[in-house]
Amino acid sequence: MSASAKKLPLVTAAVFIACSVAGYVFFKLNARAPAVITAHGGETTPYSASVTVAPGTPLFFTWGVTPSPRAKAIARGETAPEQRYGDTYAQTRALMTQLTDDLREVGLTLRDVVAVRANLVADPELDMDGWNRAFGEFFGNATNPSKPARTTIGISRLFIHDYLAEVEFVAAVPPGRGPFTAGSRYERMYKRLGRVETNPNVYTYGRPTWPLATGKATAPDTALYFQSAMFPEPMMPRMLTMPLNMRMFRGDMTAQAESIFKQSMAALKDAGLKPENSLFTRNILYPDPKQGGYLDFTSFNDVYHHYYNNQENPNRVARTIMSAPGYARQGQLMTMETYAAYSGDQSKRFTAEDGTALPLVAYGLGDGVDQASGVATSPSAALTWVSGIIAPERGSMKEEAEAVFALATERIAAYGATLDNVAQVRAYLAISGNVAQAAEFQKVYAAAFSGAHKPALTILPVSALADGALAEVEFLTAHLPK
Amino acid sequence: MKRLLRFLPLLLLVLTPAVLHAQGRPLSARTYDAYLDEVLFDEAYFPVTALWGVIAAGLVFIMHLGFATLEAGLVRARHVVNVLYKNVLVTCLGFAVFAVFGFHTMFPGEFNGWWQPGGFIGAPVAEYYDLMTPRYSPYPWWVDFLFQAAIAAKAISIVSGAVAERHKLLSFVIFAVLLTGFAYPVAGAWSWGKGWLYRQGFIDFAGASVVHVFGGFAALAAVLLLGARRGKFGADGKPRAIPGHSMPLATIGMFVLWFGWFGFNGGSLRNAHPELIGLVVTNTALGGALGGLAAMLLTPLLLKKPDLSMALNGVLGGLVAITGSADIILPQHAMIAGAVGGVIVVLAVLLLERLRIDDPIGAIPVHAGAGLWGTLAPAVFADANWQWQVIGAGVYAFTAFTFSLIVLAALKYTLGIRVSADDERIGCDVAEHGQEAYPKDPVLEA
Repeated sequence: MSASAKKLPLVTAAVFIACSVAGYVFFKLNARAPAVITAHGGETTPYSASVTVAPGTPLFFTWGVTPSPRAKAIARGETAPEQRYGDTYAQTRALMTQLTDDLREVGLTLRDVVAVRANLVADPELDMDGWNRAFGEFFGNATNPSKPARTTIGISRLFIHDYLAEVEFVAAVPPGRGPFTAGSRYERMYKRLGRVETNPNVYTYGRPTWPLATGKATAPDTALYFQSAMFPEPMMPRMLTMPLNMRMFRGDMTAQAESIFKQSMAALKDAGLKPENSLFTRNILYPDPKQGGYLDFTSFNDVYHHYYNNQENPNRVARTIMSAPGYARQGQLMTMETYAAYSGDQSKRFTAEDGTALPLVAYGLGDGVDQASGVATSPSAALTWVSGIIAPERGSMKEEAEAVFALATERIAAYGATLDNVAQVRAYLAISGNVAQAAEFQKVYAAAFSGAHKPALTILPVSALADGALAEVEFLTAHLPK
Repeated sequence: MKRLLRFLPLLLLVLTPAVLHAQGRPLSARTYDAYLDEVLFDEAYFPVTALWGVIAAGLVFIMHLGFATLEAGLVRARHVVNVLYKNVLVTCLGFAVFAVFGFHTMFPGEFNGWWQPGGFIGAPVAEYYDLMTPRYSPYPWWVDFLFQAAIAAKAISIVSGAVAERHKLLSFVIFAVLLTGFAYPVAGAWSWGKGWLYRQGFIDFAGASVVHVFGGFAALAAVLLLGARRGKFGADGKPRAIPGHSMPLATIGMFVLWFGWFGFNGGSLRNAHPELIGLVVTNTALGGALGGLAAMLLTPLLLKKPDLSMALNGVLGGLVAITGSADIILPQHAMIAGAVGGVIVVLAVLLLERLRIDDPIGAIPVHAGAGLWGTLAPAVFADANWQWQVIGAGVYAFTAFTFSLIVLAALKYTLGIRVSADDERIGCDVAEHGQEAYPKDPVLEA
């Protein structure tokens, strides 16, 4: 053997070690979230306290994904026939795998996820351990250190009885990805389908024959709109300005759904939008106590088709549908939130009379109303999703709600915004039918937003919350970065 | 003028549709989207995908014949039986270990992203409906297994060529079992099983990294531990060309591999998508063709003579180069990717000779070299995230290299991995098998 051949193992070992070290450093650098996303807090939790997206970043909204039969697990002989979908852990990890595929279609990964919303069937307790275990396999681990904002609530049931979980993502599209990047593969894959879009700023994903979209991608620099949870026409006209426990409703699902959709359309119109602009709806059906908790999904679906996915408006929105206790005892059978995206130049909308730029504009404000019907966010504002906040200590509703708003003010201030930047407040209350407590929460909320600005609002009685909390509140804010 | 006006109605008749067309497609028009939905979700489509899956599995299976012929042709006559024996062995082994452990490990469904050991591939009778209908996937369960098991032994086939003429049979068998039965499915799950690399956006359509980089770097580790064949490098370090004993066999092997590649890439769609099947197979044909052309153009420039074995490896390099992205790139990209793959193979062959690394059939240049490039191709041509393509390729190279190095080093100091000098001189065929590939006729010679 020549002298140089003897050196070969040494040289190989040196090259190997050098490559390993360089590779590890490279991996660490690239496992971080992309620059359009800034996460705050979350050192001790599996999720971030809040996540800010750079102004004008295109977004991707998924539908609320529900489980599919666990074919692989069945093949391994792991499930009994009656337990086709598995427990919360099995279902949520299957959902996240499905969502990973949905993101890949647009060129996104789990690193790009900004907000995760999980609706878990509480039976009767929330299986937070199972959910956290599945969540940890996808987020905040060695291979994917990024942590999105997260809200988890316990609901009554989902479309099919065996479903225990429903998860939806909001993701930020980094530069160079997504269907709006001209000349990219994502654009090519989308454009060749020849889809008809009702809003040039929103592209639809999912099967064309489905009544809903499995995902909606927005264009860069799109102004968005977030609507409050709608109430149907109350028994008496002034009731909607009364405390929550004083409101009474009547009518069956068809009548209430019609009424809610009509009001949603009116609110959209108020904000200069049409149903063609909608991109997402979250529908919460309340089990009817007069009919033994019956859920009329069919009637709701029929009404949905009067407004979306029809001849006049072929728009199919990404949709989440679930069932929670809500205000069923007061005769209300459902509620709905809608997100929409503006098209065309909206610079006038976000300019105040004195010429200053506005991060958001609230609509539907009036005397005695403590919430906006909807809030539009400017494309030059940075959107921040704040994870669901619960009070650190258990107490009465008033104590917990005040602690939540105190914490929220702190967390929102941490990234340079104030309560005036709040676009949407979504409050979940575990009050087991005691709606007087919802009114109690409403008072604390009204005190926090006593100024001129009112956000879009959802106050939803749910089945259970983490840690046995009475209230959990999540925020969406829009602020102009300095 | 008046005469012209007479044609006005005709002109309007012609122009109106054109103007309407220019305004865009009316709402009622059928879109490609709607057409695809009709086809892909039609009941009659499922038997078609199942049939395509079986055909693709058959094509992949035939690639074992390609590997066997190619390797047999490129080694010297007195090692042919040994090389063929190893190829038969790894084919049998691939199916067996994949059924017992590999398939469930590589495709665990939902798992933590790192690993979930699997068991036997049986399908419970009570759940048969779920596994044999579109409820499971566009393929029924058995077809899914068949296709993946046919691919499973590819990585070790690659190694068997590089270590030809000098690897001890017993230690090769142990290495083959561990690599195919354990390392390959565990590492494969990270990407194809929707594990941690997949979740970060790593794209590897048909195994540029999962199969080729993995096999290529396992081969590199093996070759480094084995050392060169006796006589390959002279006392002064100058390499000596050791031609294979049968170029016709090698050429047949290349063509069979190319043919099988249509099923390898086409079947990796796991679907019989009418558009994508065509695109993938077109890309495969063009990638291989341009890889061969590039090698045939470059070799005479560098080596003065058009070398056939370089042309064969150029084609294979082109095929490996488009394996990672055949479903997302366009034919023009496939041509560029294939040509670059062919160039890489030629240069890598020359580089290995200069480094005095002996790879008798050029498996390392083809699979490790072109495989690395093939993993980057989705980033170059199809907007994949290049950082993660680099990381993915690196992870597979690292895993295969480290695993092989440890296992083979352990074998080297226990059983030994290299045949003795005497055995190598008389040939592995007689020394290890007591058999010749081309024996003299005992009756005539007597």
